Formats: sequence, C-alpha cells, structure tokens
Amino acid sequence: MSRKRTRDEVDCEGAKRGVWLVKVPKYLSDIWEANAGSDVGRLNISASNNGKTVVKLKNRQGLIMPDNMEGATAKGGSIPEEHSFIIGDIVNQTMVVLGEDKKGLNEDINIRTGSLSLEGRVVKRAECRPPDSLAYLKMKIGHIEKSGQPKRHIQTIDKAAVKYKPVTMHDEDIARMKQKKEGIKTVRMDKDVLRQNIFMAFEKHEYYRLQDLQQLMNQPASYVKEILQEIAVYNSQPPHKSMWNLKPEYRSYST
Amino acid sequence: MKVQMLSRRVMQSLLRLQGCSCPSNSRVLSTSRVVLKSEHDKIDDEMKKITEKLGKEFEQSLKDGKTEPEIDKKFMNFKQLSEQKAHERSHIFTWKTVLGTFVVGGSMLLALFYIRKVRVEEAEKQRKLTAGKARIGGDWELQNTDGKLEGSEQLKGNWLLLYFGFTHCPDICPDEIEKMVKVVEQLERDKNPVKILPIFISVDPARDTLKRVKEYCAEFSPKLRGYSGTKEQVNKVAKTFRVYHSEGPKTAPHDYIVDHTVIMYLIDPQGNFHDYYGQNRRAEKRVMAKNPGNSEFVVKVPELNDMKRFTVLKFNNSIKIDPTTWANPECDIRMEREENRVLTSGLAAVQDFGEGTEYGKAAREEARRKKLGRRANQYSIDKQPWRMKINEADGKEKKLHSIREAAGTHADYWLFLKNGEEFHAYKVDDWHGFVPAITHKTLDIDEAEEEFTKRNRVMNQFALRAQILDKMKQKEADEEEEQKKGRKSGLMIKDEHSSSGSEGDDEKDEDGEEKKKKKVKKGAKPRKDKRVKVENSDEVAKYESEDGEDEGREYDYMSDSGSDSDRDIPMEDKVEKALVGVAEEEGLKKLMESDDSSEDDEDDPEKKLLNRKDDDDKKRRIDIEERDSSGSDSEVDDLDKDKLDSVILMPKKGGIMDGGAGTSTGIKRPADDTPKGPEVKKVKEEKEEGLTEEMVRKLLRTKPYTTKELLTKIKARCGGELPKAEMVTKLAAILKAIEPQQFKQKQGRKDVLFFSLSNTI
Repeated sequence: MSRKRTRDEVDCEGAKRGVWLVKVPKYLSDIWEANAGSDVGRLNISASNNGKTVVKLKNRQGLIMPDNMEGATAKGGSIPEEHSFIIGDIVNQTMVVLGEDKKGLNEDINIRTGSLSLEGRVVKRAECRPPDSLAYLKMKIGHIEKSGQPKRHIQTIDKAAVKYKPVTMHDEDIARMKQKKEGIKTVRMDKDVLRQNIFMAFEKHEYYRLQDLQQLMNQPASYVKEILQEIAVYNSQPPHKSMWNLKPEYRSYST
Repeated sequence: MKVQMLSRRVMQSLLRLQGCSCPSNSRVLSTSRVVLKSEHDKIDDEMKKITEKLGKEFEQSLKDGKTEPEIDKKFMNFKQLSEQKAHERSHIFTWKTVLGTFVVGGSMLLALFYIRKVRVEEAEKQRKLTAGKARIGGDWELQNTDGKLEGSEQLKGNWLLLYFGFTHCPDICPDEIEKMVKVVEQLERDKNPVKILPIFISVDPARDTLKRVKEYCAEFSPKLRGYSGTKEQVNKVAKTFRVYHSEGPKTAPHDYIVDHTVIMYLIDPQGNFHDYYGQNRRAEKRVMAKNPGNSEFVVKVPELNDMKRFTVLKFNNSIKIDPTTWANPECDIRMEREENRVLTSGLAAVQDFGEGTEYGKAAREEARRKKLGRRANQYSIDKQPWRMKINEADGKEKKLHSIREAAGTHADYWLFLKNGEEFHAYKVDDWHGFVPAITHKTLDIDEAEEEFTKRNRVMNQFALRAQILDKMKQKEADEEEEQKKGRKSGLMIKDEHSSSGSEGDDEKDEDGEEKKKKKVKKGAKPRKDKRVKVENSDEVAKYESEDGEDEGREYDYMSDSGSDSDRDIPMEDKVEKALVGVAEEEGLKKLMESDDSSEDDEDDPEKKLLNRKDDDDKKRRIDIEERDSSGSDSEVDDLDKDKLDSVILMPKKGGIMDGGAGTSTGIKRPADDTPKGPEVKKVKEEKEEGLTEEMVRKLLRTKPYTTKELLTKIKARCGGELPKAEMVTKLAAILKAIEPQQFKQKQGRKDVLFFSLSNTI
C-alpha cells in the first residue's frame, strides 16, 4: 500500500478508525503537556447501577507540574485526582481528524504543507469534568488571583543603580570591524575565480549594488569594481539606480 | 378575641336565619327540624328572641366603651383558619395507622418479589431444562479453515461461543463478532480467567470459501475459528441449532444478503447448550452478567512532536460526506492550503530571483517600512484555510473549502486514539469548518456595481429586436460602404481628369467605359434592396449615435447621392453634366489665360527694360541683403514659412494655390484628398504660373514684406523651377505694376524697406 503520493493527496487509511474528542480544562491540559512522553492517568470504564457506563480518569501519582501551577496550588487548593468523563454523541456533523506531518521538509517548512493523513473520525465527544470539591474551587480561586496580578511591579530602590553612558561603538566592535576590513583587504582572490563568482551571483539576480557584491564576495570593493567595470554596466537612472547589471553581451536570462 | 367570637356568633345566627334554604350546616339542620315540628308563630317568637338577644349584646359591647372594636391582626386571616382546620382533620393519620400500612405493604411487596424470583428461577430452569433436552444443539461437524473436518467431538472440553453469519454481511455480523471477541477477551482478562473459544459458522456456503472465512476471521481476532462446509453440512448444523437462514433477493448473481438468526450460543465443555444471547445484549453486559468487573485503560501522552499537527475537520451534515468510505483506494482526497500571501502582506507577489530582480530588495523594503514604523503581518502557511477535493469511489466529485476557527481559551481539546490497551492523547491544534466551495462564476465588485445600475431598467423587447436586426444589417451595409468607397474615389478622380482636359480625350473615353461597367454592376443588384439598406443605416445611427457612426453616415449620403445620380440620370444627362464641368473648367482656364496674358505682358522686353531701370537700386539692395544674411536668415525664412503655412495658408490653401483663379474650389476640393499622377502635374503647372501679380498682391495684403521675405515666399511657393535672377526680375516687374506702399523700418541696425498693400483697395 505504499504507492507514491503527490503532495496534496491525503492518506485515508486511518479514516475508519474511531477517535474520541475530549474537552479538557486548561490546567489539566497544561499538566498533560508537561508530562508528554509518559502516562498521565488511567481511564476507568465501569457500569453504574442504573445501567449507564461511567467513565472516570484518575491521575497518575507524581505528575510533573508545570510552572504556572505553583500559585494555584499554594492556598490549599490542589489538582483534582479524579475527573469524570461525560460522554456524548456527535450530532448534526461529521468530524474527521487530519494529521499534517512536516517531517523532512527542512527549509521549506514555512512554505509547503506537510504530508497529510487522516487519523480517524470522531465517534464520541467527551467532556472531562472536574469534581465538585473544595480543593478544586480553591485551586481555581488561586488561578484567578494569579492571573489578576500584573506582570510588572514597581519597586523602590534605596541605592542608585550603577549606570553607564551609552556608547555608539564599543571597543570590541571597532576591533572586530577593523579585523574584518583588514581581512578583506589582505586576501585578493584570483581574478578569474572572482569573475566567475560574480557571474554566478548575477545568475540569481539581475541587479546588484557594489556594496552587496563586495560583501557577498568578501573582497575589496575596488577589486570587485574593477571586474564589474569589465563585465557590467552601472545604472545611474532611477529604476535601478546605483546598481550594476551585466553588459548585454553577457546577459542571457532565458524565460 | 371577643370581637371575633362575637362576629362568629353573628354569622352563625345569620345562617340560622337562612336555615331552610341552607341545609348544609348541621346546626342549621337541627334548627330546621325544630322549625318543622313547631308552628309558624313559634318561629316568629324565636326570631324576636334572637333579635332582642342580638340587640342586648350589641348594646353591651357598646357600653364597654369601645365604639369601634380594635382590629385584630389575625382577623379575617383565612390561611390561619385553613391551617386550623387542617390540624383538626389531621388526627385521623396517627403514627399507628402509618406503621400499619407500612407493615402490610412491605410484607406484600416482599411476597411479590419472592414470587417473582421463584418464577424467574423456575423459568430459567425450565428454559435450561428444555434446552438440555437437546432441542437446541447437538453434535455437529464442519470443515475448519484448514480444510479438515472438525466438530463438537474435537472441541469438547472447551466453553464455546457459537455465532452463525456470513462474510458478506454488511453490518450486523461484524458488530456481533466484535462483541463476541470482546467478551472472550474480557473474560480472559479477569481475575479468575475463563477460556472460551469463539466460533464463527458460515451460513452462506455458496460464497464463503474456506479461504475467505479464514481471512475474515483473522480480521477480528486470531482466536476466532471459522467453519464452513457444503450446503448440506451447513443446513444440518443450522437445523440442530434451530438457526433460520435464507438468501435474500439477488440483485446480481453474487450480490445478495442472507437473512439469518442473530443469536450467540454458549456451549458448555460437555457439548451441551448452556445459554444464548440475542443481538441486543451488549458485550460489557454479557461479561458483567458473569462477573461484574471494570475495564481500565492507561492514558498516555506521546512525546511532543512539533512537526506533526492535528486538525479537526468539521463537516456539516448537509454536506453529506462519509469518512468511512474514504479508506476505499478508489476514493481520492486532495487537500491544499489556500494561497493568501498577496492578500495578507498587501504586496504583489514579487519574483525574488532571475531577470529584473535586485539583490536584497525585499530586505531593503522591509527596512524602509520599519523606518516608517510599519510592520508587515507575519504570513503563516499553517494558518491558511484548506481547499479540499473529494473524488468518491462512485465518481462523484466534491469541492469544499474551509474556514479556520478560533480555539477556545479556557479549555483544550484532546484526541483519544486507542492503541492496543492504551489511549494515546494528542492535542488538537486547529479547527477547520468546511463548506462547499463556490464553483460558479461570481461578479467582482465593479461588475456588480454595473449590474446594480441596471436594476430598474425595463427591457423593451421591440427595441431589442430592432437593435439585433440593425446590427445584422449594419454589417451588410458596412461591406457595401467599403465597396462604394473604392468606387467613389475612383469616380472623383476621373471627374477631375475629364474636367481638366489636360490629358486628352482618350482618357475620357476610358472613364466612360468604366462608368458603363459600374452601371452594369449596379444593374445586377436590385435597386429596391439598396434603398432599404440606406434607410436602415439611418436607423442604426439613431440607435447608436457614436462619433464614428456619423462620419460614416455622411460619407454614405455623399456617395449615395452620387450613385443615385449615376443610376437615375440617363447617359445623355451625364454627358451634359460632364459638359458643365468642362465649362467650369473653361472659365477657370480663361482666368488662367488672363493671368498668363498678364505675365506675357510682363515678359514684354520693353517693359522689362523699364522695370529694370526703375528697380535697379532695389535689386542691388536685395542682393546685398541676401549676401549678408545667407545663413542666419534662413531660419527666419523657415519661421515665416511655418507661420504662413500654419496661420494663413492652411485654411485657404486651395485658393492661394489656384493663384487667384481658385473659383472652382467646389470641384477641386475632393481632389486634394487623393493626389494622383496627372493631378500633381497640374499643381506643378500652377506653381510655374505661381509668380503672378495677383499672388504678390495677396501676399502683400496679408502683411508688410521685405523684398527678401517676398522672394523666399515665392521661392517656396514656386519651388526651384525658376532661376533666381529671372525670379528677381519678375518680382521687380510685378512690384512695379502693383505699386505697393513703401516704408522703412528699423530692423536691428539697418533700415529695411517694407512693401505692403492695404486691404481696402
């Protein structure tokens, strides 16, 4: 079944698989994310006396708490140990889960869509409901209080902070620049090689500034200009002002 | 309280008064009996007594000192009254009675329950007993999936769960078999596991080969054993288990459904029937019926993978899609992101390599924008809506597009995927709601605007019909016009020639011949038709009055009149007309001849000599001037020429060209448009004769000229035909004859002589 798929084709093999869609409170969701790669709890499906199935989720002991949970659990509140699942059917609509895998796209990750596959269709909808306990309420209160606090505080300082005058050019910068400049100046590339490189650059774009070319080639500006005068023309008119492009005899931008 | 009591008594006594009519009250009843026994006077006495008694009581109450009794708060409080009454009534339900009823009821219920239990047990026993009597079940033998004969003998010692079905079953069999497998698995997982063999027996031996049964069973569980056989074997087994089966209506030779009993049989290790389960009992229940136990699954969150995103695609029921059919390899689903880069960034998509591109332009633009304080929106492909194309197995195609929905902030959604005995939880990253894509063409905003302006327009169907007809006719007319155009120009030229008479008679003859030919051509076409067409062209102009159209019409008219004349006037008339033209020409010729004669006069040697003498000094001056400003003055000349061309000559070109003899402009004008060989020749002739008195007069009338200017002017007019010396002498002679006004004016340093003629003369 491993036939070659085009980029926009969707792998539908998982379309038959049933999936539950579970609504999870934010705090629990955060905990789960913090504990990715391990068990988070046990789902207990049992029948109650009146014939209905009861689904309960029991947290695993020793779950890693995310950072934002500390304030919430400070005031005697705690994350509920057990959540009940309220299971319902999907009515009036069909829901399908699509997975998009961008593995192997590397640098194209922001340009292209990944390989697509259907992971299943949603057969049940569940809601993860916290128990009606005091500890839970306290935790929620802690949450609300914490979210109400401003992120920045005003603090009075007794001593004046040590300040430095702003400097445009630091010594290190100057030294680095100097080194860079000297490096450019000292090493002159073989003329043919440089010319070839410049031609290659012109293959990508038609117009270049001298400054850009010089930086690209990492060669002295005068040397680059010397070659440019051989093979390129300087534009002094607005559309591509103060840029170089190849002389017509060297140009072959085939469409 | 006193007052209340009193009022109550009053009320009672009043009731007693109405006694006979109101028998409901017991006291009233008693009084009525008294009334019945006694006489009427007795009643009267009593009445009196009562009234007296009432009066006394009332007076007494008045004497108490309170004219108006204090109103008790509870006075007329009906709620309290009703409560009081209820309390009085309540003594019926004592604790004793309650207890009594409970005891009796409870014992009755217990008895009922007990009876029911006994009955159920009895029924169960009965059922099992009857089953035990081998009315259901028994020995059976079929082929197993390996092709060997196997039956109840070989399977003894195991609990068996039998199910009858067929592999082509669309829905029920797979469900039931799944249930069966579940039950078996759950029972094995229990604390005290019970081993049960699930068995599937095919009731459709025609289609279910052993291989197919094997594959089918393997799909559900490796434990599931499949059995099939010949039709007789299967029928025998079905009969022993009282399983009904029959083939349904056939739509195709191999496409039918088998009706069969949906019952599972539990067989004990001795090979006896133990119990049966219908379709409606659920797997859990079936297990729980044996031992109530819970199932527990581990929920695991797999390692976070940034590369993988989960999206929930929502489809409204109205779209009617069925994802279960998508797994079919014939079904093809394609999805791609919408390309909205241009819209979001607000820039046109720019090519970023190759011809015409600048290195680092985008970065520079971005830097410039940042400098101006603007920041481009980040475009993310992962946030773009989807376009979906579904090619279903039956060939139907659906196109959908999605709308990305915002995720909630207070809760997250996780997907629970069952993976073996574990649930794997994945967080949902995105939500997309799908709607059908619009496939028909829609108006853009400009088109819509245009359509909107037409909203109140009533269509006149007659006008529309006429318009369409006109369009068709116009086309024909245009073709006609083109023909005419060619003919007309030819005609005009020929008229010219005939009238000019310079080329001689032979050409004229040719013209005549050509005209004849034309006539013949026209004769071929019906005349009437032609007229109709002309009318139509007018109508067209009425409907669509565009600029170009009017021109066409005028042209048409001209040509038609010409053609009309051609058509209607017989040959003799035409000749006459030609003669008229010639006559005009003759007049013109006369004029020209007169000019010539004047020139001849000038040419007279005697006169020439005289002129020379007079104009000697003038000529000399001219010569000097010419020599002085040979180079520089040419510019001035040019200027003058331009000026003349533009200002004076242009509108009267024809007139001046005629050299004073341009009276026949009406005839000549059309010829200007189409200069042909002989015509040009004629113009040349005119030019030769150009240097006339009349011409100079005209020139001088327009504005004052120096001699030099005049010379250049004339030179330009006459071309380089005449030699310069001759021209000068000629001009001198003319000037002498005209006797223009002379005056000197300073031009630069020199005094220049100007000639002019007043217009009044």
